[in-house]
Amino acid sequence: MLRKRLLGAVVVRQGWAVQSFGYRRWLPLGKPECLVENLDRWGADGIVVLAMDRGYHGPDLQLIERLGALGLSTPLTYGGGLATEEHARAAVRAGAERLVLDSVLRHNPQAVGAMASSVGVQALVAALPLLLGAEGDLQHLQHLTSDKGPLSGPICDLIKGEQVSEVLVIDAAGEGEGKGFNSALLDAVEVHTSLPLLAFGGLTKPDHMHSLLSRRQLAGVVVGNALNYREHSIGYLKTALTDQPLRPHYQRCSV
Amino acid sequence: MTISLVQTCKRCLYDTNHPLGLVLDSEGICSGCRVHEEKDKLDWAERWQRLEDLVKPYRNRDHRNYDCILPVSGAGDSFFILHLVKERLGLNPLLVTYNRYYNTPLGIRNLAQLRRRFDCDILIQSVNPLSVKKIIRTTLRELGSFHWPVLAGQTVFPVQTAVSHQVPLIIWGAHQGLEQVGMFSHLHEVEMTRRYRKDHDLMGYEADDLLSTFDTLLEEDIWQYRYPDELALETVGVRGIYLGNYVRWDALAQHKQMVRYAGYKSATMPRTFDVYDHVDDWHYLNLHDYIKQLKHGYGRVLDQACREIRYGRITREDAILLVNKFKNIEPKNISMFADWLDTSVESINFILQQWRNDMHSTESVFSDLKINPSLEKFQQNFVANSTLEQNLGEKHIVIGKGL
Repeated sequence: MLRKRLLGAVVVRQGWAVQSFGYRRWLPLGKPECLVENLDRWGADGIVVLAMDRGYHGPDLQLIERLGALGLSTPLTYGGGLATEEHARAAVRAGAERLVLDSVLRHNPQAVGAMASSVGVQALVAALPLLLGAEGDLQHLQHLTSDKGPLSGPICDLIKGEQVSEVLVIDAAGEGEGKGFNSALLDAVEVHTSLPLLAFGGLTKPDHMHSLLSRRQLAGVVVGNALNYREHSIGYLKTALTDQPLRPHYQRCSV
Repeated sequence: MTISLVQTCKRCLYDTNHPLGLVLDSEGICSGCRVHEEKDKLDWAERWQRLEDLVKPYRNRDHRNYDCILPVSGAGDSFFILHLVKERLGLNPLLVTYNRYYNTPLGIRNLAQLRRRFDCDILIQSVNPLSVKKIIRTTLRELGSFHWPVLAGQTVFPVQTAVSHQVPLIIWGAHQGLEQVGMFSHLHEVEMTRRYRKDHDLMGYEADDLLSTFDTLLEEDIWQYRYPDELALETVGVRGIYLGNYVRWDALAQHKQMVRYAGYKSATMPRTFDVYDHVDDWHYLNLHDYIKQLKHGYGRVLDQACREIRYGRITREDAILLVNKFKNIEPKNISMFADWLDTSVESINFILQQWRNDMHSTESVFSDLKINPSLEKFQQNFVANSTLEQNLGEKHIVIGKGL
């Protein structure tokens, strides 16, 4: 069995890396290149860059190219503005190894098949920002408009039919709050798919990740804001989670 | 980079072009102002207790090593920081300071007063001046900054000392990114990171980036500024904490307290109303600040005005008047700097023009400062009690022991 991954997320808004709090509030952090380079040096198992304000403007190819030029040793996953097969090809050509699909799942799920044909199913990750409604029902959040509704049939078909390789389950209510990830969201998604899952949102402390990592279907945890609060955050978390089936910690050469 | 319209905060004077990044919320209030609001909401007694608990494991019971490393200078918040660390936390710090070479006599005097008043050991790092000048010529030309060696030195020497002396805890004052643009909440308890240093302090260029990017520099020029190896940092367990996360930080109140309590001395500076800031450096609030104005459209006086607006000591309208009074004042002492760098004033001026960003207007909205009673009262907070020159004249004190 492949060991599970601890991935670092960099949320980008208006060209800046930001801390994101529930898709409503942001604090500036710095240049995405510096954060990504840092995660690479710290030995993250993957880096997920989410350009959250791209809408339908296509991927931020200049950003991906700048990140690609860093000569990263860590796999780079990019999300933001990916709406067409051409967008997917261009993002991969610019340097992204995997792509996170979000709005396109809701608005044009048919495009995902063409993307998969073009760049490969293994390169596609479906992002699902989710909430639990008052009745415990699963709600899918459209973060650009704050609309929410049940997980649509086409999306369920898409993740059931394995047209993507993983599902990034985002705890939209807990995102940025630092109070842990609502594992009930994973329970709800597991009903729809047997694909490997990634958990993102609210994960700050080792305690938040411990029980998640013992779940069979979970392939990794994604941490965003909290990685920026101290030096060697990846090493700190991995050291605290050595009893879990995480990939071992190692640092890149510092210079 | 996504193109977006520049917007100005409705409360302070920062806009979204701020080089540290700035976010406005739906009410038009910036992230810096929002995080500042925490200063009046947090339970600071509880936060101080958190600090006490945090430093507890770092106390050396056998008194055979220092408890922490404390970066200091002859200005800024060093007096207040040392007061907190030594007298309130009861720690035994090793002071470290980076010699910037263009020290003012007042800065040398203040540093001597600091170490004598608080009775501490101090390490002073003086990198060989030939390399420093070589780096400055490169960074001034390529990055529009002659301050890179100071920023790099004062942020890396404490970390190098922590590793070499096996003293893992470094204590800094306030976090600039938190105080200015609200990069973090106080509750995040952000700590020192190499990423922040590179991203913001060093404009994206660490020592090795200078070496690989510009062919004018050699290994022997830059190695003193290299960040310690990751393995060494992890082995020693180096961490740098910020007191501003645990103490309600108020630079003006602290400076005034330290003038009375510990003999800190202040001086009038040409490009700002603040008499307490950077009085140890002939050029920081002169030429360096002027370059900042040319590149980014604002100078230190705007930083200080925003700070004072947030503390409620000046209105936004009066702050605009003050900023406009100072922002276009020509820097002094360029020839002093040029002589030290073995170049000419004309060369410096030529480079300055290369870095002028015409997007930023330098015209004042108000040509004359209209003194009104509230502004007059505000300015009484900033009365200097000394001079930069002391009785030594306008010259760099390259190395000085002070008292």
